[in-house]
Amino acid sequence: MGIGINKYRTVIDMDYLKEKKILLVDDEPEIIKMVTSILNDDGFVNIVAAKSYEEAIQVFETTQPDIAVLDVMLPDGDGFQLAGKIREKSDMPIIFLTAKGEAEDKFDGLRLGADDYIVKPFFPQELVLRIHAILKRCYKEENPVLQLSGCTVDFSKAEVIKENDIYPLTAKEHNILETLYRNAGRIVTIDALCEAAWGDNPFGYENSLMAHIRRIREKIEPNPSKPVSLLTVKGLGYKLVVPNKR
Amino acid sequence: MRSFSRFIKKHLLIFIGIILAILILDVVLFVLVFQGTVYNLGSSSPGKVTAETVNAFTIQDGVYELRAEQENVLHDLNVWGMVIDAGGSVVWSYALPEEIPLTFSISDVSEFSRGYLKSYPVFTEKIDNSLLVLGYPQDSYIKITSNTLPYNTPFTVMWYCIGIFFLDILLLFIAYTVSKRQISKNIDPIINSVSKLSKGQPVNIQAKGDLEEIGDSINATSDILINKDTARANWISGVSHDIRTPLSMILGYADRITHSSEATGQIREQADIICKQSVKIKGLIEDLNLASQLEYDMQPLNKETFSVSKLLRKIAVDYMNNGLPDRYTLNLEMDTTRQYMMNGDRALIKRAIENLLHNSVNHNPDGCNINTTLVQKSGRISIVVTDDGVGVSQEKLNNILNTPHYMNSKKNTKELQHGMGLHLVRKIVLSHEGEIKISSENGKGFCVELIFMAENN
Repeated sequence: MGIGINKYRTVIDMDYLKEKKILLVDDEPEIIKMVTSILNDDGFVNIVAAKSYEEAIQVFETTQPDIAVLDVMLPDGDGFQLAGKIREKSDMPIIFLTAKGEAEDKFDGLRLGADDYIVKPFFPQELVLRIHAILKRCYKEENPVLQLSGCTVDFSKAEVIKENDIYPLTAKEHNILETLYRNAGRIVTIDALCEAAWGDNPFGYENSLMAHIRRIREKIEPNPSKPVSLLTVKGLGYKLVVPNKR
Repeated sequence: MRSFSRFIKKHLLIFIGIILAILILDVVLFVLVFQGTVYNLGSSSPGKVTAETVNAFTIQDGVYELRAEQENVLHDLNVWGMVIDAGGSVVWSYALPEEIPLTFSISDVSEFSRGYLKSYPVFTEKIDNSLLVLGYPQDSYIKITSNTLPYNTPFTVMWYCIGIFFLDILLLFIAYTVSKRQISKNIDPIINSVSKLSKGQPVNIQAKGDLEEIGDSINATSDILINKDTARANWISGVSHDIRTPLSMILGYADRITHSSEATGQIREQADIICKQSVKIKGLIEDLNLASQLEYDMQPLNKETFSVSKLLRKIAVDYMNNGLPDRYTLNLEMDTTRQYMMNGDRALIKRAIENLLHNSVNHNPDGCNINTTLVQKSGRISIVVTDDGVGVSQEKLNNILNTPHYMNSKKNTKELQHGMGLHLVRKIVLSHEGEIKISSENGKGFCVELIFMAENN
């Protein structure tokens, strides 16, 4: 199935996430077909689909999916109602994938507790990355170990194993590193990292963040003054380079 | 408003003209109606007839003789006559009615000489030492019996007339002013609404009285305009909605072919072109939809206070994470100790800045350095996006700055159809009461500055 292996596709470094069951709801069979093949190509194997509100409820109750990707306009109802119905029984993450792009619709979707909102047309890559990010965030307790070049990070124990030495991570270092890891291969802004460490709307923590980054580098980098895993993007943020990941 | 007072002044002149015309008409009518009477008074007035009669008498030894022609005159006028001597006895008479006595006392004479004798209007004239009395037919003349006036009455009447004339003029002027003010009071809101309407703003006037109908029509017109705008915005939003699903499929599959290992290099290149063009269409329909929403005030701004520096970092990082080719560099310049807070619709501001970055990337396929500078000075935040790319000629820049976008133009020339992206940026900035400055030179890059009010923090 599918056209071929995507060059850009995320290499399966978290197999357990690929086992997650994805519920796809869209009244357009062509879209279901396309999204299914995109997800299949990326390694997701458990995909269930529904073409209507009623069918979606039925599939949801019989298959117990782990994440839902919902269209807003359905022939017999709308995706927002469907999300509300799902929320009554489950806290699973919900992503809206819809042709309705107006800001108000976005707010409606997010107010209903949706985790993300993607407006059509979308890049397959974008959908895959967002599903990944949300799954990682929602099912993170299941991902204990990160292999970096030069060390291993065990998030469940909050420690770094480098050359047989064990370095414990402080709570802030743990949060910062985890945020970088969830966005591995992508730049994360200073603001997002400060938020991860100090909560909502932090300001003036840039220097503290630099200090924490320095300490994290001392723990994870073979040569902290020449980092290879935790890179600085000047003026913007930081990027965690994970082997086998772009 | 000025044309309206001119209109009123013109009416004042017409008003004065009409009053003058009425006065003239009054005089003419008076002359026409009373001309006969006045003439009659002249030719055969009782006074004249009496005087002629006196002259037509011949008196010899106390015997009075009237000439036959004058008797005929009296006969024609149906007038009787008599002469009373100093003793009160009638010494001559002509066609004297029976009920008239033949002797009179002084008090009798005094009484009838002022008015009527047995209800005949009589006129008297001295003749020799006697009195000539002519009696006109009953009901032929009215005699005013109490015509005594104080000496200064004619002057008082004259002053009274002049006074009345000016008082009338004053009253008319007051009536005119009041009615003008009344009309203005009613018409002003209508004029204001019409001028608002001509700028495409919705109106709702509560006109009362005579102008209620006009007010209702204007309200109805406003409703029609709003409905048309709504219909147009809905139409655009509907079309852009319907394009999204098929475009998803085109973009999705083209992207997969681009990255497919089964396709040959040429096929992948072509798929990449489909991808890039689909992305262009995606951006276009999003811009079109947003611009029409802003154009017709369909979308209220979701204002919040946010940090522009954070937003810029987020935009830059998203841009880089989404794979900005190496031939482009994206640089941010700002004072990192500041927050650059502003109040506005974060999503729209983001869109505006993204559009500027898009423009720099799209118009410089060979790459360029994009520099974004953030400055806060005297309560204003300025976001400057510059690139060192190809830029545009002075002529084209003027075109961008001065010609209306085709969305707002009736003309259909190709020159008008410059980018949707910049048009949307301008709309967003204006909806935030901001300012936009664009400068460029051929071969020397493109520079756009957006200025917003800073939020004090």
